[in-house]
Amino acid sequence: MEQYFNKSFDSLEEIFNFLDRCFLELDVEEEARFPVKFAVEEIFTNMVKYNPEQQNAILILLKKNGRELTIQMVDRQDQPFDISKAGGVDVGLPIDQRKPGGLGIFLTKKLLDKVEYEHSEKKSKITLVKNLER
Amino acid sequence: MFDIRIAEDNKVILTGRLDASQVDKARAELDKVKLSAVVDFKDLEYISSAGLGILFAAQKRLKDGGQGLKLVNLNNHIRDVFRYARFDTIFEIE
Repeated sequence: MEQYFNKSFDSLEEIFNFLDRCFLELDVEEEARFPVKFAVEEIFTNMVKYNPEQQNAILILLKKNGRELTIQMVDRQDQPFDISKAGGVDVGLPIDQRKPGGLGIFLTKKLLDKVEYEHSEKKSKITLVKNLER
Repeated sequence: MFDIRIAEDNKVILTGRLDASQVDKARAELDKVKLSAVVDFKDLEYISSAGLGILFAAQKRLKDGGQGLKLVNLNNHIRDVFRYARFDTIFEIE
């Protein structure tokens, strides 16, 4: 299942509705839904914030193969930015030394089983994989 | 849908989905909290990293003044996110 979304925070409601439809259609277990929503929102909002000059729509695609749920997100982007290498935060620091930045990608990697990045033909493609229990 | 309100007993009540499109609304209410308060997550089904950032900023501000937020009734998914982020060392979580 796939759908294009306008590059705006206003698209989040539509994205969550799309994900709920996918979960039902693909029979995705309840436990996997929160992590997938968290990761998709994180990647999408990063695309909105850090690649705003390209006003194209962002493609989100979900497919299930056995016990593996794969999510792909594609954005037009001239210069590559490998999100899979981001998210290096020290969560062990005391509160006065911590900054919230970078936490989203860090948590996305914790919640999902694979985060991969490809850049070709001026497009960034991020592939997320969540292993399912059934 | 997301809602945040401060009850008469100074308890902060969160409802629905706190995603990146709702952080301005959440920040505006949390900025009104000046003393230690309980934040009730009972009806909050989802929080994004942007939502975590807003709560973190509120806690940092309150801790600087010797106050703090206590978080209660987190669902298992939200509790996991707080644990992975080590926010369980920053907030009192019940």
